[in-house]
Amino acid sequence: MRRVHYEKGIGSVVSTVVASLPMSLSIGVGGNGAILFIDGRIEWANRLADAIRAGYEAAIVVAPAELDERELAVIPDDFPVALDWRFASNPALDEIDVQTSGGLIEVTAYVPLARQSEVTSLELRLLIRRLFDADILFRGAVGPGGRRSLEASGSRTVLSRVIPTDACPSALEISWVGREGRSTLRIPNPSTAQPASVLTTDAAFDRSPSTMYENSHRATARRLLRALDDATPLADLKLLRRVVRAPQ
Amino acid sequence: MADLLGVGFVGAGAATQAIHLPALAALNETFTVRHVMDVDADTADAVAGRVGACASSSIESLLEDPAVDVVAVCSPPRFHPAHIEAACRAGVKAVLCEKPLALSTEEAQKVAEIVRETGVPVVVGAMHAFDPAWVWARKMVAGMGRVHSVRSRIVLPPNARFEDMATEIAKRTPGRSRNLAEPAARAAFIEAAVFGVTVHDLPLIRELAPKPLRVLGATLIEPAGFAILAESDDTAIELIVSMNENWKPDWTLEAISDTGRLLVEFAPSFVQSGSGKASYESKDGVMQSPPSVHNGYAMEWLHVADLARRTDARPGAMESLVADLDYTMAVAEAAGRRVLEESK
Repeated sequence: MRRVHYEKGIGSVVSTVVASLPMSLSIGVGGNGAILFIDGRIEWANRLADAIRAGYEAAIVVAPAELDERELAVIPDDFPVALDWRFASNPALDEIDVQTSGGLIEVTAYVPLARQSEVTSLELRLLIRRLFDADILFRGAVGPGGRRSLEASGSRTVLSRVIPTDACPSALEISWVGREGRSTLRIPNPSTAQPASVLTTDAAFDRSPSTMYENSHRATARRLLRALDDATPLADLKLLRRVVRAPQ
Repeated sequence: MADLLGVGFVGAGAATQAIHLPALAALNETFTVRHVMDVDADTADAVAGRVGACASSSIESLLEDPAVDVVAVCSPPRFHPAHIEAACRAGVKAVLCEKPLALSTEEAQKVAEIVRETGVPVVVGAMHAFDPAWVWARKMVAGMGRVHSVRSRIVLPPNARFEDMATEIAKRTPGRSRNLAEPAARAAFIEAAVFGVTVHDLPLIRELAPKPLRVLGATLIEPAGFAILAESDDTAIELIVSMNENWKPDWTLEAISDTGRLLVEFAPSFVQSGSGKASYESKDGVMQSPPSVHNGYAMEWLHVADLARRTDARPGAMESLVADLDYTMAVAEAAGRRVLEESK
């Protein structure tokens, strides 16, 4: 059982995570040996550095905001940090093979107007870097609040966009069309444990594998606990540094 | 039946055989095919024989046939303006021209002049503009506020599969192999693909985002297709085409505002599988378009029948068709230039 402490503003997230992992986590006092949940929506890197100095064992950053290389420099590489992205931390992304061989990949985040800032282009860039590798062809703001990029690398093209709207529930879609077929992975509202869905269509069939009823927050906590139990490093910061360092 | 409108086809290729003849077969209380012309006399004979029509290999013969009330121009696109002009000057009741209307603005404007002069209505076969799903969807547009995102996503299996499900094709034109190694060939490919495929949706997109498009990025995608990122005023527009081996077409048009999301899923080309499906999603819930047994092809033919039987002209229709062509050409040319620049 590990002790958990959290920053103001993310109490409901933490209590639902702890309620879903009651034999592994309990809410208690902060400081030495505890896991700190950090509200990532604003300037989280300095507070994470403070937490390390305060003796926390590990940290989870919930919904990390955009930051630059200089801000990231205050965090040491070897401290166990799990970044809890709204969509990119969904367990379906680890369970399902979304690697593709050429063609077009589209990454679309539908985000409510009031919560636009919680899905950053950094999250989409990180997701794309993790799942695919592509160079930038065009990146820019198109439309109000729109953050879009068109990237191409060899035989693969990635088109990503954040679409602010109150018309539909928050969701992320990753679609691929290639030579042999196409597939779509849809991650529903990240505040819930609705399972992601995947539909792959080839020359003969539609296929839809099982996914998991687990939201990003719980999956992130499980990932951190597994790393701590096994004493294996987490790659979150390393990948983030790579993405932040890449040319915009 | 005395009221039937006689149709003459100029060109008897796949569009005539797999699209229009099956569509007209379902409208046999309105139309009857009277004449099929093709420069290949064997094809003209074979196709005309299926519907009990006369066959010829010259447009003059077809236009001299008194049984022809409506001319369907299904010849190669470079001949469209000349064939429309010939039909209009022959005094037919209406012309249906397969897309595109012409290959340049000048040609399109000349066609518009001839239409004004002769009073013969011309309809361009942009089937999605007539699809009941889009007709329903466009009513929703007014209530959704400013559209800030538009996406046309067209994923198509090979045409031949759908042609074969629609009919038995006489003398199929073999597909050309593509060598896209050279930048100029890549630019030509994207221009042709915009003109050949996205052309169906660009008139609809122009309704959603009427200001001229500025292409920001364009690239070819494997195995055959493209992605274009553009903006019109402050509306982001994405145009995607992929032709691959998956069995199920995915032809969607999505428009999003702060408060509404409109999604139109079109039925595949060639087959007569009824209308597309449209939905409008907002905070209040989701509304869906009613299904119709008629697809865009049938509806465009019914529109032609309506025009052929009316005596009043439809002012503005040609201006709109010319503007659609301008819009399409601007996208195709800008995308071609982008691809050339990216290839440097």
